[in-house]
Amino acid sequence: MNPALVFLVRRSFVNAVRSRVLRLRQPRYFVPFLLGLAYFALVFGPWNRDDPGVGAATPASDRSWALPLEWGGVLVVLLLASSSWLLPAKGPPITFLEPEVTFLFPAPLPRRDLIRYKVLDLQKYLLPSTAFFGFMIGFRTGATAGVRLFLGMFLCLNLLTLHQIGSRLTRASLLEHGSAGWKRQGAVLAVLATVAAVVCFAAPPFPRPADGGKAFAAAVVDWLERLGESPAGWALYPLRLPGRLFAATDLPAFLLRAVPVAGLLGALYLWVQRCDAAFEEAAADHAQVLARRVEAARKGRIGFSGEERKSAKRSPFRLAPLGPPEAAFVWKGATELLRHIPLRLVILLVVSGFVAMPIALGGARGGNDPRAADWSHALSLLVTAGLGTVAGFLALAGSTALGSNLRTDLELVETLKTLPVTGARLVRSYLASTVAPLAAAQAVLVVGMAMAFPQSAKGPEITAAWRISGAICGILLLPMVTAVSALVDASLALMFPAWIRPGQAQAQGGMEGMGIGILWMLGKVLALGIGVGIPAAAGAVVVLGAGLLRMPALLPGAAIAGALLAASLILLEVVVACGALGRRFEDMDPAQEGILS
Amino acid sequence: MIEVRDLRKSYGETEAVRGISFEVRPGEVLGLVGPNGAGKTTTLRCIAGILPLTGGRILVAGHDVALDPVGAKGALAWVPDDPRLFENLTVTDHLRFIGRLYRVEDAEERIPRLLEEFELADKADALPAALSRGMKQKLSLACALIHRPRAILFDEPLTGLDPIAIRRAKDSIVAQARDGAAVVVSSHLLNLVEELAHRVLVILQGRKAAHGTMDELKAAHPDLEAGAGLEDIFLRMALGNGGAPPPPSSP
Repeated sequence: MNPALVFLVRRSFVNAVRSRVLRLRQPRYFVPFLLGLAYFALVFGPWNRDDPGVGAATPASDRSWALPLEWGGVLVVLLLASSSWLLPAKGPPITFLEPEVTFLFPAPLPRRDLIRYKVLDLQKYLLPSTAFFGFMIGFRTGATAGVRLFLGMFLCLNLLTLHQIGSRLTRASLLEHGSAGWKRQGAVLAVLATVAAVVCFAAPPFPRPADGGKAFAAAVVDWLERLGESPAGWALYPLRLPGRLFAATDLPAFLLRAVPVAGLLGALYLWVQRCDAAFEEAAADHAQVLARRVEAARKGRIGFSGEERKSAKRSPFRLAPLGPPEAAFVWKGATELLRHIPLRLVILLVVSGFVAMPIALGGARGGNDPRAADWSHALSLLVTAGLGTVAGFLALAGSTALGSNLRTDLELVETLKTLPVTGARLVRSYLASTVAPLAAAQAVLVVGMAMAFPQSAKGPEITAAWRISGAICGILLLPMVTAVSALVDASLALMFPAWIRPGQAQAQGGMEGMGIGILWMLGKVLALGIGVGIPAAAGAVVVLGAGLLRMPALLPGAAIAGALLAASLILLEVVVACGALGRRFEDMDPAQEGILS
Repeated sequence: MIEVRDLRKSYGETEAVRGISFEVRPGEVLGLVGPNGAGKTTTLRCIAGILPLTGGRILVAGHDVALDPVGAKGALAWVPDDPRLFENLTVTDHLRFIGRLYRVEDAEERIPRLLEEFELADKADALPAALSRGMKQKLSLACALIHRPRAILFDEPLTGLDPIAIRRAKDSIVAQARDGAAVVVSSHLLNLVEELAHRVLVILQGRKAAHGTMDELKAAHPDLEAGAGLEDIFLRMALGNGGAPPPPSSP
């Protein structure tokens, strides 16, 4: 292989590791790293290791587990291998990144070298990830289990990857030579049919489920053993190799079984190398799409396909030229959210609502026919729980997952800093832009919940007053919870912009990424616990006070009053916090924080 | 209109700008010139209120950028070299949004005119992803001009533009100055600066190396030929060896 390409892979790997290690000198990386490490130690540490007695008898050491594991592997490999030939391939045969396209494609390198480079480059990802998971998971069941799991995963992933590259290159080559897709698929189906016929013809007869579950299971294991020794077993031998690796009970047995896997790997490598399909054009196009997708993911935009959209959906309302800037940001947030959510999802949700709500409403009222009432009750419970889950998700994670917020837009800090609004107002505007569309969705969900909430036959009657009160309480409180949640996101972005690294090449990951995730989660729990908990307690006092009057008719109204008090207190907290964050935004030096180059 | 007094900006131990002072009057175009890393963009970002100052004072339309940033920014427009746009707002959406933030009463009337002027009318409903780099730059320019700013900062304004767009952008800069705006243009295109700027400020290693009209700069280098332009003056100052750049590497 070209030494320059080996150099590229080696130096990229070494430099990536080095930069990650070096930046740990900064507390903002070291603290989350320690936290991530502590988390992994807690989950996978020696104190969490299984009993050695149990570990010695791993499931794979038992014949009743080893054989199903081996043959289960055959099914998985068969499925993956055949699908890579039968299913339509969207991307190029081999994926290249934009810098690789820029520097390697015009370089005087034969196509074979590019393929070799890509195979070698893949090891950069496969090796650390399989080592990490192998050792972390495997060591729980014994010292050599970690080594076996690591090597097993590493070899199998390489087998699958090489096969996928080879099949895609071969398909591209066949296409170049005018072979239509149906011919290729026909050939693959013929091969599969032949294999199936050979297995059916040469396999021993399958046991009948006559003597109960355990006996049948034992008979199946016996049959699998006989199948392995039959001509059908030998015909399927290459497909059995991956499963046999994981079924090995000790290291010597594993190494012995790894020899034919290595042989198969060599054969696949030779095959891939000899493929001569023109992949450059498709790879160059795909590299651009990939770059956009990676950029979007780094900015926290989930579900962005990377494909360019030439047109946009209309804005939800017209923005008047004059008025408070908050309204402009709400307009922007609503517009972006509307363009972010796929239309198909909205149609699906609306249709589901139309179908489920009438039945759920029947359950909410209770019915005369007991069987129909049971179904209706169950469905209304399901609808209420579903709507509640979505509303809760929007409150806790909606600000992060959907639309735009200060965190995603921090990349535009240069523009944001030049806008004629104070920092506090900008933070407030962004918060409003995040919360307003989510609040509108939550209002619909809460009204649906209040209507569909099931009326239990034995429980107290849920009157219309309680349903209205519940809906109003939800409409008042959920947006406030969303605001606190969004405030945590904004705080993270403004206090620790280096953790988000908007628009930067190197995204957070590894231990630091895990640590940052934990800190973010802790921050959210703490903010919600204090910021929502205390006002909610104040609201509850109002309801309890009304309860002491022993006038049940007042309670729904008291609940609304309590919710109003809690919402007002949370709003006050949010406004104060926006002021503090605004000052932080104004004082922030984007160049020092690494946001501006 | 723009008044910079003893501007200092440090990044940790590194002093990027070391006590620069200058003034740009209404209707004047100031050309900001300097090699890479001289402190041009840092100076512009400090004026725009993007970077906090380490020392000194900046006034825009009478507003102190540090003490009254909203007032200063309301009078200012910033056109960065790399146009950064909201990925889910269309071309028209951008203009409408910026118009609202700067309280432009006649934004709805100005938007079609700006779209026409910057040849973006047929892209009015396109998202930034569907725009070429030059079109993004045009949109960035249109956004900067929608609120009729009294001071405009251009950082490499012609990057990525085609010849027609370059001509229009130059005309636009001149027109803004003619209408009374104070304009600062930072560029490596020295002939552009020479063509547009009434005065030129040369920054070297964060310090003001020269400041004046072209005639004043030429007068400061009497040994240069009669037809010498800004490029000759700049090379003389930057290289200090008679203005001769290092020889090109042999093929």
